[in-house]
This record gives sequence, C-alpha cells and structure tokens, in this order.
Amino acid sequence: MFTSEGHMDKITDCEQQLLEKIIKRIDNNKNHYLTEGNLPMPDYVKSALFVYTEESSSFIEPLQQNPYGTTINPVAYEALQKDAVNILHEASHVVISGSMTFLKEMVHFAIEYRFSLGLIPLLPEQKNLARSLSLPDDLEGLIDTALRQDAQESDIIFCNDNILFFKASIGRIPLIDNPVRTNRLWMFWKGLRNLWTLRLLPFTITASGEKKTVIKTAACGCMIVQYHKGSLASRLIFHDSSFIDGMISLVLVAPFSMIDYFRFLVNTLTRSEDDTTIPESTGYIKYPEITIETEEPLQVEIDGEQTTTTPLHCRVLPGAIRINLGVEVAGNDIKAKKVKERINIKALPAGKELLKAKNAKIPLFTYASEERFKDLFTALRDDARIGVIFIVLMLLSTILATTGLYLNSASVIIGAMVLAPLMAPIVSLAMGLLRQDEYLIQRSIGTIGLGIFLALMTAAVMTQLLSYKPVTGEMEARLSPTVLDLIVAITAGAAGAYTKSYREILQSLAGVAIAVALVPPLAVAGIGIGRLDPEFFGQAFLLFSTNLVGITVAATLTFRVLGYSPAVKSKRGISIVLLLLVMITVPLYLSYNRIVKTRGFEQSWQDERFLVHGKYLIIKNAHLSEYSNKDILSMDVLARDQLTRSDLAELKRKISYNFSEELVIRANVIYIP
Amino acid sequence: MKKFLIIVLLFSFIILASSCKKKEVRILPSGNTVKIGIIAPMSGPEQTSGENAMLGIRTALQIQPYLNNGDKVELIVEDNGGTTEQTLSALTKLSGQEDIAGVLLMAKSNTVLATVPVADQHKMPILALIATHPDITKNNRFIAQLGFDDNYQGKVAALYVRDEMLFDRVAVFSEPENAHFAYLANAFIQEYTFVGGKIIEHVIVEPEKTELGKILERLRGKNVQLLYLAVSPKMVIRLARAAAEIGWKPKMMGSDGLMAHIVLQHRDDIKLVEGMMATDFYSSSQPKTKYSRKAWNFFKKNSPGQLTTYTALGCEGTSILLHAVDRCENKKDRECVNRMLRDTQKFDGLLGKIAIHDNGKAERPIFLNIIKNQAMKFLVKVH
Repeated sequence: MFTSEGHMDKITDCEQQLLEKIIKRIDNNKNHYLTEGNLPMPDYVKSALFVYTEESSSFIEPLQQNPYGTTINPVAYEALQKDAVNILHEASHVVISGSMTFLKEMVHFAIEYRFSLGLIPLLPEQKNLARSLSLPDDLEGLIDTALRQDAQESDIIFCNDNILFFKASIGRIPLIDNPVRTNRLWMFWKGLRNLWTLRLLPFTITASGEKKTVIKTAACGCMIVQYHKGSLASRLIFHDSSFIDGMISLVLVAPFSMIDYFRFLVNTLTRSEDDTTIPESTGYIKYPEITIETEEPLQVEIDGEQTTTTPLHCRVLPGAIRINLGVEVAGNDIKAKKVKERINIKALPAGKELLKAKNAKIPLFTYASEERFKDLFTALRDDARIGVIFIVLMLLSTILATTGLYLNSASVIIGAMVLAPLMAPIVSLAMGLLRQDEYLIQRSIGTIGLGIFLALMTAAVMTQLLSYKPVTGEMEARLSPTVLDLIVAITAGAAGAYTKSYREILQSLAGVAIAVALVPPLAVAGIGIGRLDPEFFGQAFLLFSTNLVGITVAATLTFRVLGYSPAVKSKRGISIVLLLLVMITVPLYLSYNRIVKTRGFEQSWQDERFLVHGKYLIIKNAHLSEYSNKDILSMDVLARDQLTRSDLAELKRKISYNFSEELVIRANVIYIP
Repeated sequence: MKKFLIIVLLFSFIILASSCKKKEVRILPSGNTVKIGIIAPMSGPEQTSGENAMLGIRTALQIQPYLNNGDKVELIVEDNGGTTEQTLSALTKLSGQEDIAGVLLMAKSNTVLATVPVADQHKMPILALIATHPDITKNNRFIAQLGFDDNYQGKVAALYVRDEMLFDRVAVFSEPENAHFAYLANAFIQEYTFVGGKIIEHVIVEPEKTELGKILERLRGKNVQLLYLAVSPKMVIRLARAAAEIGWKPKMMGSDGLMAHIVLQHRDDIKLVEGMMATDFYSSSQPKTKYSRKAWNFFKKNSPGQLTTYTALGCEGTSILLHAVDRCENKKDRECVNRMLRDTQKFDGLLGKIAIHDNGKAERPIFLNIIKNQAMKFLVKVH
C-alpha cells in the first residue's frame, strides 16, 4: 500500500483481498448506477452512529471495517436510552439494526432529531422488511446501502400511534399479502383453500383530507401499503403510489361470490405490471388520514406483528424521516410527485348489497343491487313493454313462418325467426323472476301473452283462408316435442341472457336462437286452431310451452351465474320456474321415449321382407307417424313382380299379423327391373 | 319452500306410481301332473343337438312350470339315438302311456316321415321340432311342424338370391339319399328358374365319393356367382375346404340348422365358412320379445354355453305344446290337445309370432343369417 511518504510498500495478502473487494464494489456500483438512470456513484457518509441491540452487536466490526472510509461510532441501545439527547443531538446519520420495536423507536428519534437512517435488518427474520425497502440480502450490500449519503425523504404512517413501516392488514386478504416472487401455483392453491371460509365483514372507512368522506362497505380484509415493492398488493397500485406522496394507500378486497374470488385470484396472479386498472373485487382509497371501523374489533397486524385492534386511525407524516433505501426504490421514487386524493370503490358492496354481507360466507354466485346494473335493468324494463314495433314484427314473423310451414321451406321459416321480437320480453321475464320484480314479471307476461295470441290468431286466420291443408315435414317436425327440444330451448335461453348482459355481442344472434324455439311451433299451433284439430294444436303448443319454460329457466339461471341475483334473494322466483321445468320434463321424457322406440321400430324395418303369393317384397324407408290417434306406417316396397290388389291385401294382413292390427299402411311400390 | 318441496315430492310419487308394473298372478299348484313326452337323440352322433334341445325344453318349463290350472308338467324323455327305428319304438312306448298329453319329436325329416303312417294310429299329438319336409304333415292329422317347410325355405332362398343379391348364375348341390335336401334343392331350383335365374349346374354329391375340387374348378370357370348347398353340414365343410384349396371363395348359402350344427360340432372349421349365408328359424342378433327375454335370462343362468337353433326350437315347441294343453279342459284329452295345437294363433315366440294352422303347417318368419367374424349375424327376416 501507499505509505504516507507516497512510496508503495509491498501489499499483504489481506490488503490484496481488500483491494480486490473495493475494486469489485466500485465496478458493481458504477455499472448499477449508470444503468439506473445514469445516476452518479454515491458518496458515503463520513461518519455515522451505529445503534445496536444485543441481536445486532455482531455487525459492529464489519461496519467499522467498512471500505468506504466511514467512521462508525457504535452505541448500545441501552446506553442511548439513558442519554439520547447528548448522543443524538449532533448525529447526522445513524445506522440501526435490531427488532421491529427497536427500529420503530429509532424512527421516533429520527423524527425528533432529524438525522438520516441507514437500516441493517436482521435476516432472515426481517426479510419482509428488507424486501419492502429493496435492501440487499447480503451484509456487505446492506452496509453499502446503510452508509450511502443518499437518504430519501419518506413519509411515516402512524396507526393508532404505532409506526407503520411497510404494511398493515386487517381481516383476510387473500393472495395480495404475499411477495411477488412466491411460486404462483402455490399462491393460487393457498388462495383456493380460503374459498370456503371467506367472509365479507362490514367496514366503515372515514377518509379525511381536502374533504371528508365516509364509506360504508364490506370486505374480506384491507391492507395499508407503504413500502410496497415486493408484495402483490403493490402490483395493484404501484403506478399510483409512492412513499413520499403524503398519502396512505388502502387496498380492500371484497369478492362478492366464490366465482368472483376465483376470478380475482386469476387476475391478480396473471396481471402484467403495465396494467394500471384496479382489478375486480378490489377497492382503493388514497387519503392522508384514514379511520377504519368495524362492527366487532378486529386484530390489526402492523408490519407482521399483532399490534392493535380496530378502530384503526391512521395518519401520515409527510417526509418525516430520511432513510437509505435500496437502489430500486430510490431510483424510482426520487421522481415521485404529490398525488391527489383518491377513492375507487365501485367494486365494493354498497347499499342493499351490504345486507348480504353481514359477516356471512360468500355465496357461490354473485349478486347485485339495481344501482350497479342500472342500464341493463332500464333496458329490460323497456323491453317488457308492449309497443307498435313488437306487434308489427310479431305479425310479420308469424305470417312468414306460416307460409314457410306450408311451403315446407326451412329458409322461409328461418326468415321468420330473424324477424321475431320474442327474445326481449322473455329475457325480461327471466330477470323479473330472478329478482322478484313484480313490475317486470307482469309486463313481460303481458307482452309474451300478446305475442302468443297474435301468432296463434294470425296462423289460424291464414289457415282458414288457405283451402289446401297439407301436413308438411316442417309441420310434422314440430308435432312431437321431446327432451331434445328442451335442450334446444335451454341453450337458446342461456344464449339470450348472456348476450343481453354483454353489449358487444350482436343481440340478433341470440334472438334468432330463441325464435327457433318459439315462432314455428306457435305458427303450427295456430294452424291447428285453424283446422280445428285439437291434437295438432296440442302437440305444437306443448312444444312451444316446453321451449318457453326452458328458455325462461335457462335465462334465469344464466343471469344468476352472471351475478344479477338480488342482494336479498327470494327463492320463490326460481322455485316456480324449476317446478314448471320439472312438470314439463315428464311429458317430454315420455314423448322422447316414444320417439326412441319409434325410431328403433323404423330401423328394424330395414331388414323386413315379405313373401306374398310367391312374390318377394323388400321394405325400405319405413316411417311411423301419428295422425288423428292412428299410427301410420309409410314405406317403400321394392318388388320385381307386378303387385295385384290381392297381393297388397296379403301384405297388409302379414304386417297386421306380425306387428299391429291398428297400423295404417301406406306403401309406395317401386319396381326393380 | 316447504310447500314447493311437498308438491314436487307428490308429483314424483304420482309419476313413479303410474310407472309401476303390474304384478304377475301366481299360479297355485293343483297337486296333479300332466306329462309331456320328448323323443330326442340323447346318444349317438346327434347327441349334442339333442342335449341342446333339452336345454331349451327345460328352459320353457322354468318359464311355465305349471299349467294355468295348477297342474305340474313332467317330462318323459326317450332317446331315439337319431335313428328311425328307435324313434318309432319310443313313440309307441309313449303313446301307450295314457297320461301323456303330447310329444315333442326332435328328429330329421327322414325319420319323421317314417312316423307319418303310424301317427294317426297312436292318436298322439306330435310336434316335430326340426323336420321341414312338406310331406310330414301330409296324410295325417296328428303331426304338426314347428318349423317352416322346405317349399317355403327353398323359395325364400331363391328369391333372396335373385331379387336382393341380384345374382343370376347359381349352382346347386344336393344329397340324393336325404329327402329333405333333395326336396329343398328342387324347391330352390324351381323358384329360381321361375324368376329368371339360371342354374348353371345341379350337382348331386355322394358323401366321400365326389371329387369336389374338380367340380368347383369347373363351376368357377363358368362364373357361378353363388353355390346353393342343400347338403349336410359335414358336406358343407368339405366343400368349403375344397374351395379354399383351389383358392376360390364363392358366395355360399345353406339351409336350416346348418349354422347350429357347425357351431356345435365343427367349431374348429368355422373359419372355412366365413361369409356363408343360411336360412334358419332364428337369429341371435334380433331384438327380443318379452317371452325371449324371460327365456334368455334362464338360459344365461343355467347354461352359459352355446345356445343354438335347437335350444330355441326346444323352448318354443314346449311352450306351444303347453299352450295347447292349457286350452283344453281335460288336459289329457289328446284329441283336444291336437286340435288346439293345430289352432295356434299369434303365439309370441322368441323372435316373432308363430301360428300353426289346421293343416299342421307353421306360419313363422324365416331368418337369413351370415357367418361373420366366426359368429352368426342377422341379414334379413322374411315373413
């Protein structure tokens, strides 16, 4: 090393090692600082006090041997307590290390005596603290940071007169309390385990600042976030938060339902750092003074320790201390500006929704008050009303459907479906039943009833005017309702409710889907009235009723799943619809059974042959249908010989003998050359 | 909520109650017994077929152990060894027992034809289970056929080949010693030519003597589309083997009982007859009637082995005979039993309705089956 005369002596091994360390440190810092905003290399304080406790007494020597030329004056905490004034009055920079309680005591002193603080946390116990302040995890790094001459001004939050270093939490705050770097799958699993035990607790939050606001809401828990780097909570608010903004950042988590909670978990774990929106089920309040009150006193954890209970009164002391922070934090927050007071509680329960959140477990499905979905409810109320447009479209679609049925044209019938305006009142009815809204129910039923009446009468009148009375394939297809038709109706109903909830989806798509299930059977029923055929009318109307009930049930349940249940639920609405569903399922199941048997019967005819007066007859395309209480068996008969009347009579006898005497047989004879 | 639950429960109960099946009425035993005679080959080369038929007969008794008046049904079994002499002897013995109401006769057409002259003498109602020669019911009043006759069988086979398979070049094989096969072959030829088909050759084969390979080569050269085989199962196997040896796989069709026989006695050779069709009384892959479902459950319980046409015929025959006995006031009145037997109308058999007319002929569908993947598969059913 260099002597005082400027000569260079031979360096010892120890000196060599120290020199290498210094060079390495300088290089590291140089690179780091040059990367982080081209800041210059830090200076180090010339001298500093080191106040220590028994746990941190081992740091004395490494501190004293620091390579930065800082003179360290170690002082035991006990000694400081006896003579704080004399020891601290001229101190400019104090390095501290010890328990949380000790650290907070020293913060008090820092506020009083205005010295800057360097912090050496006890690792691994105080790893959360180190992470929050972005401090290194090795002693050399900690010493380096603690001795730098770039202490940052920092707010201090007092909660019930306890200093809050990095966070405080009340209740259960799933997930966001965890560090960012924790394994996500493990966090997700841990979060899921809470699913069955989460409760919404009533909170009253008074935010005081430029104006005073009282918020009554409910949440699983809330968290005050100060030094935020490293926790998931920070990811929710870091764009808006700083430790020198003079504000307290309060995050509340309030999933309305298990489904909401699940969405919250996924969203929190997967959101990118660029996402600046407050996630669903989360509220955010930013005020200089916040008071949190609960119905029952709740434990408050400050900086990981059970310190106090609610009510919790927190206030911020802006720029109260100067503290050496990690490069990450320091680098960014130097540029932080004062932010405005903020309240974002749209996602939190309010009004009637609070009636649900009375220390109760969160339900499976979300619920909502009318205020929350005001636009949708207004639209549904409008849809439930009878108007000229509805009447005209109903008439036109029925005329088109009836014509299509007569023409046996699927495309014309589809055209009628596009026109039909039945979706709106049915979806309104579904919402009315779910929320037991008498007005919606009555109006919707009235509109639907009118629509049914118009369709039936229009089709009946058209049938009377048309002298030709065929039973086309399209009509027949609507005369045998089965459970499969119910599945169509349920799917259409779910689609209708779903599209109504999301404006971006083209409404007409679902409208067509619903119309598939309703307009053609109504038209067929109307044709039955026109022909004075009660069976014709009955079968088609059964299909229509099936579909109407199916759509209503599906739409009601879909709305429930999407979160439109009322806060105070009435089970009567859903019970009625489910009862109707059960009742209608029975005749449909019987009908389905019959159809399965019929199809099986028809299929078996593919292999039936008849020897009639020496003539070999092959049966193809057998089809069994019902008309006017009679079973009609239609078939193609392939023959190579000419068939006489007596041959056909013998064929009929054989069929009656082997199958059923009541079968009416319609044979289409095809001669094979 | 309570009311809603009550309504749903009531509703469900109504639905369930209405779907409950009616209980079958139990018959109380009367203490009396009615006997049914069975003449079947319980020894000799046809023993397997006889045992198979007995399985069906016993199954029928499990379905109906008592007559409607509570009389118990007892079987008196006589072994005919598959021969005509033993059959006649057994018939005489059974006819001498007064309390035997009727006889189920499992014997081939040749044997049954031999019993025709003596049937009326004994005045014993006889139901021939497997014989299909048309003359069985001729010139007597007491023999009825459970199976269709060869006229019908030959006709159906010919028409299927001509009108469904659209073949017009067929060769026919028959055995001269056997009346059944001879008749069948002629019935086929007659019908086939009547409907415009061409019989390329009618080959009369003698067991062990005919050089089948040469014959088949010749037929192949003549572009024969199908071989109609009115021959015994043994001969069918020989023909199939000979065809395989010359590398020819023609379409083949046989007659009733062929597949049952192959399955029971020539199982190892079943690969040779892959693709062969045959007319038959039954088809295993057909949907079951209520009667056949009952029978099937008993079959499976008692014997998981091979169920063939013989089993089915034994079962049906027994049930039809008991049905006839049931309709007589005096269960041992053979005249009455015979009359009722020949007035069987719309009897629900295993796979369809069966009628036995006054002339002793059965009206029942013929099944056409095919051997596919070493199992019998259904093709068509001809009424």
